[in-house]
Amino acid sequence: MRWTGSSTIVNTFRRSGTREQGETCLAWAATAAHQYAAAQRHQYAAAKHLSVEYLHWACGHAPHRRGTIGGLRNALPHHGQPADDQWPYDPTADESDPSYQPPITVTGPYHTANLRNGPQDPVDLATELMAGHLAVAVLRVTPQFLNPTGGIIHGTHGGTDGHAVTVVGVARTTRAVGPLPKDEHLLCLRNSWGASWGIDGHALLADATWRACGLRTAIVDPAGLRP
Amino acid sequence: MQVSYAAAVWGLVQMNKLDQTTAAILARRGPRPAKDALRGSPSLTDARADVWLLDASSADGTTITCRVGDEIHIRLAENLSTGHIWQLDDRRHPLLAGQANDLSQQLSWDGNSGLVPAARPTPVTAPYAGRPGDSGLEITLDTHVGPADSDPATSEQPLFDLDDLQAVTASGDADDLTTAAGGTRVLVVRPHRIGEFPLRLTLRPAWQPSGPPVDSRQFVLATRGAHTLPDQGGYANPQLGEWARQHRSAA
Repeated sequence: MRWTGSSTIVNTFRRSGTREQGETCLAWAATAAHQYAAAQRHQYAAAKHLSVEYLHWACGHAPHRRGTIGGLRNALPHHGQPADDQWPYDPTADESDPSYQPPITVTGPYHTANLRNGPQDPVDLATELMAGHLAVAVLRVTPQFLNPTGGIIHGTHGGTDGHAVTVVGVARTTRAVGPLPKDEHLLCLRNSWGASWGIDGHALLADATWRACGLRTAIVDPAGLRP
Repeated sequence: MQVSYAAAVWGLVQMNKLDQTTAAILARRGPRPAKDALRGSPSLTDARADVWLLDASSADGTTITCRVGDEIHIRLAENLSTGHIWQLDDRRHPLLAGQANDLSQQLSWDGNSGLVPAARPTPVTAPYAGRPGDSGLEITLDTHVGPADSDPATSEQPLFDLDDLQAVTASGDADDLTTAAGGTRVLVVRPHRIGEFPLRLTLRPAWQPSGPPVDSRQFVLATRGAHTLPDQGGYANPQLGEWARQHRSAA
């Protein structure tokens, strides 16, 4: 198996760990992509970790809803994200409660970005990776995704519901391996379900599976700072 | 109530919960439409089986006194975007790790650039389906119903796939697809012998069959012998007409 680019990104993310993020998966995936793209541009050195909770909250501004690409597309440029320590992830937060608002510790500045539609082909996703962009991937959850034993998600189940992850690597088989043909692309996904999922919270998704359960991708382009 | 369907209908008339015309219509239709409505579909097994519903509003520790062959429908909210699902604990039946992932029986990712032969699957104690003859219970359905299927208000939500991606993203319709909408775990259990069966359900990460659950519910099935139509242990049909006439005249 050969990585497009290098395996450094994947290894770095694996070592950095991952935590469970409850129902904030889309904001979590977008934040990982935002932070990485900004780091590649040597921006935001003082804010390596951006607030997932704030972005999740901001995605709910009418007429948009949290957990939707539409909400994300509106929130990233108009609201941005403060540093994570201003509003850390709160697993007990009840977003249906009117009191679900940023705490007074949120003072900015806010790191803004634009969201654009991403490619679906693994080769094009690899091109984005080499250009310094991790794709946010929206997919349906399949039984294999729920239990990626061995760190590989296979099968052609269409899945159900919706979920978001970050694509942190693209690999290709250099020879046929088991049911995987030569030149099969595998997307390396970083999930928000904690380190016990897959291999250190990451798993490989076969191209055929991606085509069955994948819905769309999005790319985060850092835009700048808002006071 | 431990009485037959028709007796229950006329009992509701006595309690002024139903008018006589409605009761007569319901009694004439029989229990089948009501059972189909409760289970959400026609019976796949025994149309005579009673249907019992358990959901989040059912008190923990509830005991259901049912009969062999009855259907116990358990519906609990879960959100697949969190990776947590409701599972039925039955530690007598080991599930092979990776059973749901055929490729993982052959290959594992080493976390770097290697795909290596998978280690021999390790039997783990898993909460999963019992089998007839072993536990006295049979799981006839274990599935997740997504929000689009369970909520009529969102049932028109379009589904997309990658082949449609360009068209979808061009129109912007996919912008409204919610990535973390909750759904429902639907389990249907049938006892196939007389006895008392504890049902323990746990909400936990799908890939971690053991370990502490995030949430749990416990019910007990106290199962008696199968229905013996026509009287089903309650009022026989010939008696019902007389019973209804007496109560109509009394009313």
